[in-house]
Amino acid sequence: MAGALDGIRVLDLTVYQQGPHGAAMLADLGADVIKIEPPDTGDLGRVNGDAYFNYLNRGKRGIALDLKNEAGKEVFLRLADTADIFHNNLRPGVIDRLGLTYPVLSARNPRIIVNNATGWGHLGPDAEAQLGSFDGLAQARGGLQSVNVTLEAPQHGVPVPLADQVGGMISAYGMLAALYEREKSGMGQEVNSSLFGSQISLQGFGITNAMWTGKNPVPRGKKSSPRTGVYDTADGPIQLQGGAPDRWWPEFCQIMGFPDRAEGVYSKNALDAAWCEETYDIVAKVFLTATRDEWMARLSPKFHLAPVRNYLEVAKDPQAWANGYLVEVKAKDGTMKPTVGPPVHMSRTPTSVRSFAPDKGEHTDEILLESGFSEAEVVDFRARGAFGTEVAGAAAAGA
Amino acid sequence: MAMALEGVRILDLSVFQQGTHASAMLADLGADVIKIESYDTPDPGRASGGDPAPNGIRPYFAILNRNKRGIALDLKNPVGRETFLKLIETADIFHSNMRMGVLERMNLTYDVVKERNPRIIFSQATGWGHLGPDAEAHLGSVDGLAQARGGLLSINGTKESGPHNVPLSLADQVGGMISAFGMMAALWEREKSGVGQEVNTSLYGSQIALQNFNITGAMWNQKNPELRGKDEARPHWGTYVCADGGLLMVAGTTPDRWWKEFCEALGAPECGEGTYSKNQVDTAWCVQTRARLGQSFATKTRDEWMSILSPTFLVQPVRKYLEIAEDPQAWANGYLTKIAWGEGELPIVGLPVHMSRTPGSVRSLAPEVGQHTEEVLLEAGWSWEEIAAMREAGAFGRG
Repeated sequence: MAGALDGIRVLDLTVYQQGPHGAAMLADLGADVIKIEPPDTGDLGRVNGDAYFNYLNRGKRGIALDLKNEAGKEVFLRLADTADIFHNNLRPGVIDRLGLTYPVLSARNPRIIVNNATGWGHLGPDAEAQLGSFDGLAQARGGLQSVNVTLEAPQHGVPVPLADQVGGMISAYGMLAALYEREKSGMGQEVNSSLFGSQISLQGFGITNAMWTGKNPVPRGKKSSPRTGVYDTADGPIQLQGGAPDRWWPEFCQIMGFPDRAEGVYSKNALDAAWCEETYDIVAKVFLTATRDEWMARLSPKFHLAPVRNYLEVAKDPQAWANGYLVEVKAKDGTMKPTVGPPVHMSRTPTSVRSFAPDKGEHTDEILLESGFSEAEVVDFRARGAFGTEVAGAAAAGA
Repeated sequence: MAMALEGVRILDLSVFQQGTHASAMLADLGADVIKIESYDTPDPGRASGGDPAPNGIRPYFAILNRNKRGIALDLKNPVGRETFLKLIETADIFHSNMRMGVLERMNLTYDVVKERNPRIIFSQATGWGHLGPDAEAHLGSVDGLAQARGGLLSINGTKESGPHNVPLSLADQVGGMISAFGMMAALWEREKSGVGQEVNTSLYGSQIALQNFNITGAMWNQKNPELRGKDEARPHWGTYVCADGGLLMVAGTTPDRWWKEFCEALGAPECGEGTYSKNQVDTAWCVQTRARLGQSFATKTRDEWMSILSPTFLVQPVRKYLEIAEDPQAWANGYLTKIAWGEGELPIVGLPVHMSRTPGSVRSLAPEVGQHTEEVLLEAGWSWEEIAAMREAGAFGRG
């Protein structure tokens, strides 16, 4: 079955994570994403490990182009004439120096959509200063680190590249919006997103709340709320989550064997920090007497609980496999490898992970030939260094 | 200027956060999002998120339902149901985040609504996905449970504190982004095929996708990431406390290139001896070096260190929400914006995406229950008399 973005071509000049992830999300929907890498270094993200690079560049084809070489730039511009989207996550200023800005590209191809996924946004003092960014910095300046704290744990960044991932999602959303709009207007446009903006949007309610109340969020402790929190069991932690505790708390206390804790109204008792702490300790003691699975069997679905799972436990969850959140994909060596599937299930135009990352320049000839370049032109561009000298040497040896 | 999703109509039967955030993201781009509630059963999110701000508004509900219109419909009342199905004929998307089983009980499945409008896109943002054992069990979910079962909780915290959730509704927010992405992909595809489809997303799938390469890496290496001790982080990536108590985040890849110079700038040249990538494998070296640099950071304020270190080194202040509210970079890019309110203006989080030709915007806060019932129905061709009769029949709920 066709994917939703079948026939859409994305030129993907991205490195590391925010950019590659945004384009990979479009590849999951069937877009023809062409990853452009400098012939010498390649995407610097290649050194961050197999899972990192392969996953962030899943479903893409690869072409090596030296954009500082006149011939390489010419190849890029001709490819841009065939493309729907040019997506990059270069620092502000780099695209200008390369001469590959939206005005340049749209003059040749008015339908092209240019998406810049920057660190701090394309406007403002730090865009003018061409300031760079990384995930941890956006989590810091974007306020996420300041709220990722409890009375027991110091402030710390979320130890997955959350800002990059969310930034990638937001840029994919922006590109889709521009694609849809182009169907009506026939014209492309420039779309800008950033790590910083995505972090702020992620916390839209909390930051607005702070601006309206004049107060920052205050950290809570493990024992601040016995109805919501992590409890250790005989074999691992479990998360208890209670929406409207006045309704379910009395029954919970009965079943758990501490009926006296049900006296009074939960929402009133919860205003008393000492009551909360004392109650947390009582609940904690009982949870220790059985395993996570036993508690799940006894209490769920009547009460809202979930095991706190580590990654290898997630990997065994039949629910994750049933929904395609985990899938197997054929690796280059022919073996099937487990990986994460697309989070969106579309009934008529299904999403899929079709392959892992391409090698640097793996599809250069294939892409150029199908884009209207003649074999003689490819040879000529290669000789002029468009694909870098390394690739030219390898091709000569192969011939 | 026209907006990207102008002319797109969404019937929004969502509550609390994941669902409401997704449709709000489409409303930001100009879609006509009609929030459906009954006077008897309004969105429980109206009472969520803590006390109202001093301006009298509850930010949680106001933000998550920005830019929407509100209509009151009791879908269990036959007249209310028929009104809903007639509105389906005018809509592009029917979006909900009900627990699995609820729409079946209401007899509002995809099969039923596409009977009335084959172009309709049917978007469901569930807790655990629409397939698998927990979909069959109609298991509910909320943010904290998805963070727990999705593995995010297990990696967040320190060895000393144990795991804790990211204390904001991260799973809901990310789930909403993914659902918006899915809806737009289906909208775009419909331009080609002329037919709608069912789009399913969930809190759980979005959490797994957020950590996609981390989980893939764990599956490939058969190794879970472990919580670090609070002082064990490698010194080139993490936060330091400055003289004024402010935190500074240091984040740099390829430290071998800049580390020596960085230590010199901090007045601790001894920490720069040797090769960073070799030193960092020694935990004792990391702890010691972090402590020594900590002494340096403690001698100057955060702003002083910023001006000394940035932009040569990639550092940023760890900002609290109210500090973000003062960041000119956030205002320049529209990540923070203002909307008209009474005689004055209210600050609010804006859009993470900037579109050059069809900009999105925040135009209004959440509607009251049924605020636009008459307006929406009159536009769709009902007469005042018909609306009065519908009200009499209980189509909007009794309240």
